Amino acid sequence: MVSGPAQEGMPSARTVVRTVPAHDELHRDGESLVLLDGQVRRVSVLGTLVRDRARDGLGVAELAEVLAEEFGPPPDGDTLGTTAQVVATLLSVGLLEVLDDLEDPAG
Amino acid sequence: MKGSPDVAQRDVVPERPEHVVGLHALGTDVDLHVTGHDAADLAAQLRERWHLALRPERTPHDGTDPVVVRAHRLAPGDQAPPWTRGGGTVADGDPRRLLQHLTQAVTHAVITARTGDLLMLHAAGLADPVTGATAVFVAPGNTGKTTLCRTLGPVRTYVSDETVGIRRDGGVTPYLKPLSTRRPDWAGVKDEQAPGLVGLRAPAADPWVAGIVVLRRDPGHRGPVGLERLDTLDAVVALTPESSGFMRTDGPLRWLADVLVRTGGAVRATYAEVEGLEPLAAEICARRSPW
Repeated sequence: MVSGPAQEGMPSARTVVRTVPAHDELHRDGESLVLLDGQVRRVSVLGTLVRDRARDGLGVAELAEVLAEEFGPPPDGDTLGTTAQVVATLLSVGLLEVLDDLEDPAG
Repeated sequence: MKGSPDVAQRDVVPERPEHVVGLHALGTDVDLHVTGHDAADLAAQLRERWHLALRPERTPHDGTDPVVVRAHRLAPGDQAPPWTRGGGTVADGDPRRLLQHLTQAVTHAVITARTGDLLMLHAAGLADPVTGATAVFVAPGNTGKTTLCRTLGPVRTYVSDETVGIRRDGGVTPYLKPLSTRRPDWAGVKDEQAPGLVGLRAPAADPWVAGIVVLRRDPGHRGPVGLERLDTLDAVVALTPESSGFMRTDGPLRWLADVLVRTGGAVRATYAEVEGLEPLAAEICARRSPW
C-alpha cells in the first residue's frame, strides 16, 4: 500500500470518518442508492463498501486496507490515494462525516 | 400581519359553507366548502367535474373528519386574496381558474393526507376493467399524462391522470380527479373536464400495480415506441423525482424497488404520439397479479 502526502482538500490517512445515517438505502450488486435530505444518490461499489464499514467510524488508512482486501490494488497501485478520493467524494455530498482529523505524523 | 394571506382570506371567505361537495379522492374524504357569488352554480360545476370521486353521503367512510378545502367564487369587483397551493382556500372570480386551482388544492390536500401511507407517483394510471391490472405511466407535469388517459383510457378504466397511490399490498388507490387539459386559447389556465365526457369510467375491479412505464415524450421520435428496460437502481433514480412524500415514508427506496421487482421492472418509453403506447398499455393490463 502506497502512502503519499495528502492533497489539499483530501482526507489524510489518519482522518477518521463516519457514515451519515440515511433515510433509506437500496443495495444491488454492491452498488447502492442512498436517500438523504430529500436527495437520492447513486453510490459506487467502492463508496458503498466504505459507507458500510465506516458506520461506527474508521480511519482512511483502515478503509484503504478494507478496499484492498476486497478488491485488490487499484490499477495505479495507490490504494490509499484511491480510498482518499472515494472518501472525499462521499464527504463532499454529505454521505460521510469527519469524526476526527488527526495530523499525519509524517507531515 | 395586515395583508397576509390568512387575514385576506378571512376577510373575504365566510367560515360557514353554503354548499358542501363531498369527495373521496386518493382514499381520503374531502369536503369542498363552497361559498360566494353564485355558490350553487359553482357547487354544481364541481359535482359535474368530480363526478367519479363524489362521496355518496356526507358521512365520512372511516369515521375521521374529512379534509376541508374551501372554494369561494368572488363577485365582480371583489379583490382576490393571494392564492397558495397548500392554503386550503381558493378564492377567485374567474370560474376556470377557480376550478383549476381547486383541483390543485385538492391534490395537495390528499397527497398531504396520504403521505407515509402510500407510495405516490406522479403518473397516469389505467386499469383493466375486469382484473384491475394497472399500467402506471410516470411523467412530469404537462408532458402528456392527461392526453394518454383520454386516448387509451376509454377501453380501460381510469385510475388517475395525476397521482397513482400504491399501497403496501400492491393495490392502487384511485384518484379520480377531473382531467386537467391545457387549452390553446387560455394561456396558463387549464380546463377541468369531467372524465365521463371522454368516456372514462371508475375502476370496476380493485386496481393493482401491473407495470410501471417512465414516459419520455420526444416530438421528433420516428417509428415505433422506443422501449428501454431499466435496471432496478436506474428505475428508482428515474422515478424518485416524480414521487411525493418520499422523505416521510418508511423505506421508500426499498418499497419502490419491491414494486419494480414484482412487476418485472420498469421500462422507459420514448414516443412521439400517445397512440403508439397502446400495445404497451395492452400488454401491461393483460398481466397476472404478482401480489
